[in-house]
Amino acid sequence: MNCDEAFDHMTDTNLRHRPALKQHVERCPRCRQMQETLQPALALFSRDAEGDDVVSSYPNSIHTSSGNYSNTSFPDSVWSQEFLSPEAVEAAEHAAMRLATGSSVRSPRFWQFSACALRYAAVLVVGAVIGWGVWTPHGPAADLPSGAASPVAGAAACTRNPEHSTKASQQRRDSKSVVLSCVACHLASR
Amino acid sequence: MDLDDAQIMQRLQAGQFELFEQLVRRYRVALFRAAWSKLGDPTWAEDVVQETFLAVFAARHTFKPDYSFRTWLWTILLNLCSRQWKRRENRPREFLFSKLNAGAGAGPSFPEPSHQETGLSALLWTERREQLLEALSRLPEAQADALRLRFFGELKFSEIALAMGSSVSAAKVRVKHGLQTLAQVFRGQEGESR
Repeated sequence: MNCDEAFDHMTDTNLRHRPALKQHVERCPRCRQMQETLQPALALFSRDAEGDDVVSSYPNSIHTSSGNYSNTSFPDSVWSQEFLSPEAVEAAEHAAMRLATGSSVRSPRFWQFSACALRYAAVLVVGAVIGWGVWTPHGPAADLPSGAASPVAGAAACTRNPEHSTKASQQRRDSKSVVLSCVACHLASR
Repeated sequence: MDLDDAQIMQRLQAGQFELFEQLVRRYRVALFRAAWSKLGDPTWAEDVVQETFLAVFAARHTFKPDYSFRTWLWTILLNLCSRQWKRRENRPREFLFSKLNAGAGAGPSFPEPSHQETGLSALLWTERREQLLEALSRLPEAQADALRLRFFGELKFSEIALAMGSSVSAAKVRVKHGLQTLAQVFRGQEGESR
């Protein structure tokens, strides 16, 4: 028996008196310490379970707000679903679906938290990319006239100088011609 | 011969409704105990337990033998308890165990035992039960639920994990921490009483 199994046995009212657990606890100081620490709580749960014998010795009737009935049968009005809400049925069906797939070991809150965290992460990444795009120095490319294509990596530096770009900005520019000239230049430099 | 839960559910799905009473008899006390400890009101607890069994019956066609019936049952109970609590969250969570046998309208009551020795045992049991349930109400909900499933429901840790939507290790940690806190509380109370 390992320590994990020992904890399973300790917390199982049907297994806690097994000899295997006793032997393990005698050999393992860590589990012995844990058993001593948890003993008051374990004893209380154990005594509580024993009390079920006392409860079962009572007559089989419970008086509740919904009427008196035996503890093993429900009155006909109950089966007519007066006390059953659609939400309860939905909860039962949802639980059955979740258990059958076994996929969602995590709680719905976990997935909600994960989705929220992913959204924030995505916003941060996009913001970082935009910031990098805005603030990264471009060198000669910084002098490119507006509308020009970004220089291809490894291509020769654009021949358009600041003077030209200034002149160009003063004229009424045809964006198409600017783009075409830049593309032609950069393609030629390949 | 007693049928197991999966066999009963299979026959229930086939239309043998009279077998459902076996499931009710098997789980009612444990469910009631857990619901009472969670809601602090025996009347609400009884309502929730009723609704749980009704929901199981109404949704019986969705049950699959791939998982254990009791995991499904306890999952439904926990969900309905949370729902019930949210519905009535304006009321303080106070234990009404002391109002047992206080009179009509006080909630569920157990009839007076006829035998004196049984009565003494019952009184001791009631006192310990009150102590336990009050201590559970002070724990974080996840730890208290894990303890209820482990000790009232006698679920395995894998079943607790499925019912609570957590990992097996998280279920064990919750039980362990819950027990440690309860043990500290009871040690403190014993120290005060000396």
